Amino acid sequence: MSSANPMDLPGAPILGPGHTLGTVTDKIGDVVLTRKTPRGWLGGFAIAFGLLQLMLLAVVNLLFVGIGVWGVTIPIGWGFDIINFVWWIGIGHAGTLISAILLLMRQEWRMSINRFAEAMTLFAVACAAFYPIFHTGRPWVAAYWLLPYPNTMGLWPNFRSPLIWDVFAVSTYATVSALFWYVGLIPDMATLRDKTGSRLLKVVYGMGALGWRGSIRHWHNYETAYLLLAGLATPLVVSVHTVVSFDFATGLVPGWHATIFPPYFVAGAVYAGFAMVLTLAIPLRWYYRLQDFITMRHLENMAKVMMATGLVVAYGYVIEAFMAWYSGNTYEMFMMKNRMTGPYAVMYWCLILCNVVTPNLLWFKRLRTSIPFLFLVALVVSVGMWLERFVIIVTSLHRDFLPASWGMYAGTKYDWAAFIGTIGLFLTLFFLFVRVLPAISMFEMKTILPGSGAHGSGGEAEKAR
Amino acid sequence: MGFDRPAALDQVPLRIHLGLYQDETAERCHWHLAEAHGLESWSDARAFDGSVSIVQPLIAPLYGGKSAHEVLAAFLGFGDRAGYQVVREHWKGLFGADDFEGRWQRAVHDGVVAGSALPEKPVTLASGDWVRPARQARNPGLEIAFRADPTIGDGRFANNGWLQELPKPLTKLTWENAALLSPRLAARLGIAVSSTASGATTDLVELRYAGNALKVPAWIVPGHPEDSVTLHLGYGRRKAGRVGSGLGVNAYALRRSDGLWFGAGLEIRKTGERAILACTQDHWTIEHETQTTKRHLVRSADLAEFERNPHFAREMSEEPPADLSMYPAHTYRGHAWGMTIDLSACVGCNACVVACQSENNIPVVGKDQVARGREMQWIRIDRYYQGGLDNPETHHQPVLCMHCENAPCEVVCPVAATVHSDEGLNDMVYNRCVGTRYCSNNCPYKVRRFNFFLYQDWDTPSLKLMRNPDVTVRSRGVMEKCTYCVQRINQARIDAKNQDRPLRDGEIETACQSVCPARAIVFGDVNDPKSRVTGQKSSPRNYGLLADLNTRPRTSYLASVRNPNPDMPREAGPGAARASLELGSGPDV
Repeated sequence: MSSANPMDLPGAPILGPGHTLGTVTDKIGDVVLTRKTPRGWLGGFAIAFGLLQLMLLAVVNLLFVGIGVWGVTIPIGWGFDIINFVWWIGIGHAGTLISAILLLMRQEWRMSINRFAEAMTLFAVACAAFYPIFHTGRPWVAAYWLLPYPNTMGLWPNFRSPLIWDVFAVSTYATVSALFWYVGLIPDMATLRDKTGSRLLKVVYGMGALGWRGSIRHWHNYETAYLLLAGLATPLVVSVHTVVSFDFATGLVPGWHATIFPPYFVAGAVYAGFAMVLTLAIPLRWYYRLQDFITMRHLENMAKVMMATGLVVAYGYVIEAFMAWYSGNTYEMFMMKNRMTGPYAVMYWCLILCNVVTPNLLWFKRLRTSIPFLFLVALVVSVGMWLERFVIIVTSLHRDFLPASWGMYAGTKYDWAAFIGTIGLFLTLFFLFVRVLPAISMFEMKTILPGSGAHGSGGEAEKAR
Repeated sequence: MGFDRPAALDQVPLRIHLGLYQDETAERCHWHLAEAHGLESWSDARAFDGSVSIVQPLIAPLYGGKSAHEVLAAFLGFGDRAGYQVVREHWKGLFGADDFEGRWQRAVHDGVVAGSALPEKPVTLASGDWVRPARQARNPGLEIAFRADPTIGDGRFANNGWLQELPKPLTKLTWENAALLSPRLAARLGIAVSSTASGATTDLVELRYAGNALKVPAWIVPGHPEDSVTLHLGYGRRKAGRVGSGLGVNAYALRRSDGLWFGAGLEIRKTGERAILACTQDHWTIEHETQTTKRHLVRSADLAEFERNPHFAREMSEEPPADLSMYPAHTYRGHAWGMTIDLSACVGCNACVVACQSENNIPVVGKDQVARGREMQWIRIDRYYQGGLDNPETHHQPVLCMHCENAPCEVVCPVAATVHSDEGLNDMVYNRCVGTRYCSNNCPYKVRRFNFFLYQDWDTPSLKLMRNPDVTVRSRGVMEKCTYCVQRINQARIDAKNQDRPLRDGEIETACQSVCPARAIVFGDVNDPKSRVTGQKSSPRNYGLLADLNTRPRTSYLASVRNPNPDMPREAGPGAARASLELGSGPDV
């Protein structure tokens, strides 16, 4: 362990006092195994499921009437569809970052948040995947042509197009994230299998546990597989949003055509992802009384990551504006002026407020450790990142090269229905997840119990306390 | 335009209407007879010099209509004599029985009756008449001017979707009329035009003239006389048909027989209500005039400037070297198509737009869709103003697919639905297109059009006959754009092959080219050093639109050279200095 390990730093503990192997299993496992579904869960699920129905409405309308029910037009060929796609994909970044990169860097505080952050990633990617498939208005054709398959016509997708890179990047990311999440779940599934009294659940969790018996050999294989997957997932954290940014950076539209885009998008994704993890963690720990597992230390660490990536994003905004001026390019200069003073200037300045001003408040420890404030900041950041994509996509397209072809854009009610619908999908899946699977990794929490020497550096936790 | 004064017509005891449409007049008649269209009937007509043509139908009447000749013949007691017989009998009388059959055949075949031109009549100008000044307004104040609508005329073409959706020259409005007024009058009245995602919003004004009042949306037209309001006739029809009913306002309601074309004493008042208009080119080109000049989109000089520097257009921007691409260059061993558009010649008449719509089965999408920026025309006329709002110079620039050599659309299409042909065309493969719209986003010319809905009418039988059988009818979710009339290229190629000869220069005319009255558009093979288009492209006036982006467009423009009469007053009022198009150092970024 290097001395820079945050475990060694003074601060709040990453596990509340007084826990034993048994209490960890009970506290986390009972959330799932309890026979009585809590009222709050039912209420929340009902709302989420209701929102999901909006998506159904939006999709049916889209498929039967056409993409014209959305606000997209010429010259603004992409609107809510791609804004929301990038927004969701960005949110999906935190899970893998927490799981893979923080695992490789042996940041053990990740253990209590990685499970649900990974789940969140999967659900966010599912929401994101909705858009590229449906935004063509004819997904049955899109799915057919976009995938490379050998055919008698000898036709392949256009491998020069960033959208094809997107297809590969996103599908790879979804696959690896799902595998990673599932592999991490195996030991906990076995615990649930052994703990449940219900015959049916025994079979279901038993199948999920893939015959896990907890032998040394199992643990050895598990650790190797998990590390390998982490190694696989790590480059993906960087690559997916880099490829998403290529959708814009390789285009010639002023406001898109910028080499800063890949790092700036990746930082933005981590930033948005951590905001979403906070948005979910704060109510989760409160409702299920998991304060011992998700401690102030976790919240503060996440706030710090959010602030750091927020500063990178802010740097991206500065460089965009600087390059527009420094390039001396008429189109770029006008684009920037139009962003700041044009018809969508309100969006731009709200974006600056949300993504540049707000994260800087986290410099103050008092604000950083105030849970309601953190929750608020996380929401503001999510709004800010949505605005960022709106600004990049819409304000760049709406006034490009020929003033005669300029146009205006606004989302229609079906755009909003689809967007709110994906939020419904996300929440529905998340509610189902916390009900049927342990939201915090039980076995990993046990490794940081005092006296536990498993999982590499368990003793560190004790030292930290 | 249907007759709209029932009181006068209702006094007639028997009213029979012969017309193409069951319009407002038909509504007031006891009988409506379906008229055969001019293209369905036999007739005859005289040209401007008196030459007679025998008019042949192109098609048998689709709906069993009768021509005016046939109806009159029936009234005159000739029973159901067919139009052909009526015309033929008439000319039998004129030609005489002597070799009638031969003369008739020749007249029908040639399309003209030889030697039927009328003798010239010497005319003299009544002295002093031509210097008489225009009638002065009787009292100071606002004047109203009535004009035939630029696309639907006096209203007779109101039921024609192509003409309704055709952007009117200068205003670029579609589907309705508006009270056209000057920027100064608009400022005085506090009229605000703004662009939204669902159309251009403007103030509804009330016009009061000679005891009548009309609520009309206001529209600002740079260069319009200050104390005058222009209103186009032909709109506000109640019963024009499936397309034309209930569009715009009826300007006839304000018009009086003592001042058919203009009159003084107009009062105008802002009502406080707003209206949405469908305008294909919003007023940004006015607000952002310096952007237009800085980008050197339309290049123009007057004769003196041109003589001083004939290469003025080429010097306005820098074209990147041709090999500046990651991808290998295309090679053309056969033909390589290209086009030039002479901006000196273009008058912005819109004929090319309608010709293209007709040739390429382009759908009409309606006011709401146009207002949202979803019009489908493959060629458009961009209009730019130059030099102040009071009396600007107006420039027209037809814009169609540039068929770029480095086409930004081709690279980004994920399914290779838009690809480069071996003759340099940028082809659209409709059945490969999945509709990501990425190509349109990346097209700097924004010439691509997307079928956001199923715009094509698959059911109306007459529309099936209207379509060009050589052009695919596009469905929902497909991108489309100018093809350089590839079907005409292929037809000419087949003809040449059948006759065992190479394609001749000028043999292929694109639809827009073939109707251009000013011959501004030239299409041909740029690989052929002797072709007309190659000659045009070697002109010093030749330049590529946005060529600084390294798109290497195949459609290029010949800069406009104007030769204003030095004796004519150039400008009045502020902004008088003629803004040179070479302006590029303005403070605006």
